[in-house]
Amino acid sequence: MAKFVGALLASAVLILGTAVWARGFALPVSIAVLLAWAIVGDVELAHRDARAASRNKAPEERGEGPLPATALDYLARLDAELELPAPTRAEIRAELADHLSDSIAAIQADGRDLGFATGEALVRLGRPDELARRLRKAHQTPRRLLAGAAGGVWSAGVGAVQGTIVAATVGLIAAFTIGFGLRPVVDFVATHAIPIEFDPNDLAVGTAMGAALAWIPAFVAGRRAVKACASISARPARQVGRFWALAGILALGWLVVFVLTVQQSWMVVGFELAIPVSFAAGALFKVDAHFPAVAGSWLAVVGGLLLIGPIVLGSVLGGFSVTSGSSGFSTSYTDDSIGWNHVAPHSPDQSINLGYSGSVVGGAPTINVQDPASLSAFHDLRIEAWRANAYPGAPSGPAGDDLGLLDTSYSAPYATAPAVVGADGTIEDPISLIHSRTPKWWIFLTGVGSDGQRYWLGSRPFLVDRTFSGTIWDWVTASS
Amino acid sequence: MGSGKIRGQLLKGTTPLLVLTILRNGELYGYEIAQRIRERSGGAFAPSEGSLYPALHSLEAGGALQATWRDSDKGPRRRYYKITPKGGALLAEHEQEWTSFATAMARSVA
Repeated sequence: MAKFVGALLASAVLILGTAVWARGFALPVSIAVLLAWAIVGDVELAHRDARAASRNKAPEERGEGPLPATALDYLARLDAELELPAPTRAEIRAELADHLSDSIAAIQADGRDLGFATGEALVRLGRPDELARRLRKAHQTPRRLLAGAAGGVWSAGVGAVQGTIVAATVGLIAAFTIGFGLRPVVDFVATHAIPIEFDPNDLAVGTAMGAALAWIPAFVAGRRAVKACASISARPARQVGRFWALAGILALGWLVVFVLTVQQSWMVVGFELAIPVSFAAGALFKVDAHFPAVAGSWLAVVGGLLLIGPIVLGSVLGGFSVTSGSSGFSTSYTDDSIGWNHVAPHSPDQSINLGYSGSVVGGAPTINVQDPASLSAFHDLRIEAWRANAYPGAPSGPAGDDLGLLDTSYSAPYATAPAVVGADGTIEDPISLIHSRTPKWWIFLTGVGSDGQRYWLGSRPFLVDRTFSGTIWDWVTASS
Repeated sequence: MGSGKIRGQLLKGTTPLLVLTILRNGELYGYEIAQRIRERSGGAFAPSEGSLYPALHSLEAGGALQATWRDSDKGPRRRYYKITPKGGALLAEHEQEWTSFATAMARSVA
């Protein structure tokens, strides 16, 4: 009770303090309140369970009328065979201990000694394994199993909502920590030690954090489902946990592999696949333990990983980058250094003026020729799509998006298409890039000159920087 | 049979009926129920205590009985069983079945 009041007061102080300090932060405050209540609620539930377990303790554990060792041994063997939830087992044990106590006393009242009376009372109850089997059958009815499955699904939903609230709160804390707490540290280090640059809005950091936060609702959902199902169906949590873990892996696995459409990368695939794994972990990991017991030893570890993990991942995968000095990124390049001449030599006629418009994904891109007559010296015109890599040292954002290093490891284009110049000087680009995982492409217009040599035309080819949006299945089955 | 005890096979399946009949008159705990059955049958019915508790728990799971832990008049807390309206209806059904069965058996073996 003292803890409950303490948590309540702490919540009130937190809410009032935050409200005064940051007026207008209604959402974070609401989430903080909900989180505080969720924690308090769980603590209270755990206390209630503990009190109930205490009530249901067998008499000898409560210090009420100790039983002979043979009777206690009988109850222990029965308990081991019951395979029912702990509270139910405790109740059965207490009830049968009462029964044995009465039975032994009654037989002793007929003039028998304690040893004989105990043996006789146990014989009347029958073999412990047989009694356990019958009691198990009495509790574990098919109707309860169905109800347990339904209750488990419902509780999984409730757990997912609770977990989302927790995840949103952790995410907010992480965002504030990274945005306001870590940023000055990084800036200080960048100024005084290593020339380091940190972009908290980087996709790698955002994806890592977002996906990691999705593991929390999955874990809580798995845990809640098992606890509810075990309680309703009168089966041990460990037993139903295996089925829920399998069901979660299949259902959530199907969802993330075939349904969930996001901007994909191999990292995102890994994080997405970890969601069903997280559900299974919730269904299997210490599922008999109460919330505080788990939280006490693991909350700090999980919280730390959630805060530190994305930063480390971001550092490895591009969130942080070490700049190349105060001069920054140099945009000087030649047709050779950027790889364009790997496709073909540049046309000697540099006056051909081309433009590119439209989107490769979902649109109908076109190459616009300002003066169609300028192409008259070339025949067999075609559009070629070549893979590109990020330009070394190019920063993320508009400045770097405009460049890509042509991937010269390929000796042929990914795709080609004949280029037909329309009356208005437009050439439709029919090449579809959506079945490839490559994000950067160079699109060339090439043609064969009067000397029989194929050239690439225009002042420069066109860079297409696209993100792969689809399911894991789309990503895995796409070409490289 | 000579002592008035009835063969176990004949008692098979009658435990729920006996339990519901005994509990019709009020709340009792497990040991008391076993004693009452023995007393009311003059010792002829002595259902195995190993089948009494599964029957009690099965009736409770089916909603025919309601169990509550509470202090007994003397001694520790006991698990008391009380018949529910659903249990009352089940008892009436069992009684009718048993009466039909007993009448038919009596006619057959007369």
